Amino acid sequence: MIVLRQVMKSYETQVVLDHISCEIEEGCVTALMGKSGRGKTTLLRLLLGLEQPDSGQMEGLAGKRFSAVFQEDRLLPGFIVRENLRCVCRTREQCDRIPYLLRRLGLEAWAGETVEALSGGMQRRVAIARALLAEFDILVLDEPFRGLDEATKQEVIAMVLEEAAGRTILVATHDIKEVQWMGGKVLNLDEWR
Amino acid sequence: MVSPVVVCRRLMELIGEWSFWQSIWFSGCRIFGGFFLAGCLGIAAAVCSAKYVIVRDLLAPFMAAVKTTPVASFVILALFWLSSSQLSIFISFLMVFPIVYNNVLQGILQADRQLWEMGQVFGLGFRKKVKYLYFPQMFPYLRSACAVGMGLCWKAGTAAEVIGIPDGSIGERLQEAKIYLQMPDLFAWTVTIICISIVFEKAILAALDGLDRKNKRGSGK
Repeated sequence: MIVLRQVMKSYETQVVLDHISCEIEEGCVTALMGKSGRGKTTLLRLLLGLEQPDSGQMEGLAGKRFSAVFQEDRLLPGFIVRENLRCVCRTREQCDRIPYLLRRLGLEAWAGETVEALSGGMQRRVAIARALLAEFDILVLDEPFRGLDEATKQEVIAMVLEEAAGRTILVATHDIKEVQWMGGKVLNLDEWR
Repeated sequence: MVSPVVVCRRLMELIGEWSFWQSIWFSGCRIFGGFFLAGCLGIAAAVCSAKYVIVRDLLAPFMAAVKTTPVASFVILALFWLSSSQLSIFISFLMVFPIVYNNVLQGILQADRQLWEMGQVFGLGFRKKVKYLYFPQMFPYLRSACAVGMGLCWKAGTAAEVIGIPDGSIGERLQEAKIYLQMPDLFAWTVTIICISIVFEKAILAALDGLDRKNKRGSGK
């Protein structure tokens, strides 16, 4: 169980997370919902260890391996798709999964192309493939299906749930449909205000 | 003054002489050696400076002094401690080191923070950070430093040789041309230096571009 107790985070004078407490069950999907500016991304950044809370405690994160789809794609500019995936591989077995993931995400023909040659939706799928390729205990997804059409979105969600089965998935979104397709528990950040 | 035809004729004669190639080899090895050393140490110093502010602060006065001190002063000072044959290595090193250091440091400091965070989340090791983050981010800055530095290296290196006059160097040949008022030789050697400098610059930039292309395309598997 990941437990947040009285976590507070502010940027200059703006309080983004105001003494929030919650429990996130491990091995399941938890959706963080809320309007823009409610602190979904900030909360995910705290969990990823990219920022520290001003006060409060976060328990159950020690020794956990993370993988993420960031709000932005954060792909390596100028690198081909295959290298963008290879960069997170630690073992040969992981590297061997690259063609499989690319095939499932409809990117097989683009493996040797630089990421700049891809459309926005394709770049998003590369970012998702990279996240699924890495070794992780907790998968953090920050508006991961942005730029994907409905049909593709459903296919990709099914794939993510299959590939990350049994592990913790935290997804930040404001799309109720995505939450329904992903299933799991919902944490509504609007209710924390 | 001499006509371009006379200069070309003299250059052709020089090309046929074994000593011409020996002088180019002698100076080229030393100047390129200084350039290579400055490139390696400049990158290493920039990486340390980016990581530790104290290193940046300690190196700042040294870099400022090197950039503003006249080359001739360095040459004369260096002659007290170094033999004339080592002079061009030292001088080309001094010319290129601050350029590589400053450019690469800028490249690292202006690197995309979002990519660093990506590397942190995915736990990229040192080698992968160099391959996927450090090198691509500093590459345009390093490329520009090499383009500027190579030309400067040849200019300052041969100037140092003219003052130090090491045996068998291009600088010695320029000095001889001056003493004996051999204008065709002087122009022929100047053209040679310009050509070698351009060839070296193109070769280094092509090698760097190739390295960058290979890095970004991977092994192809």
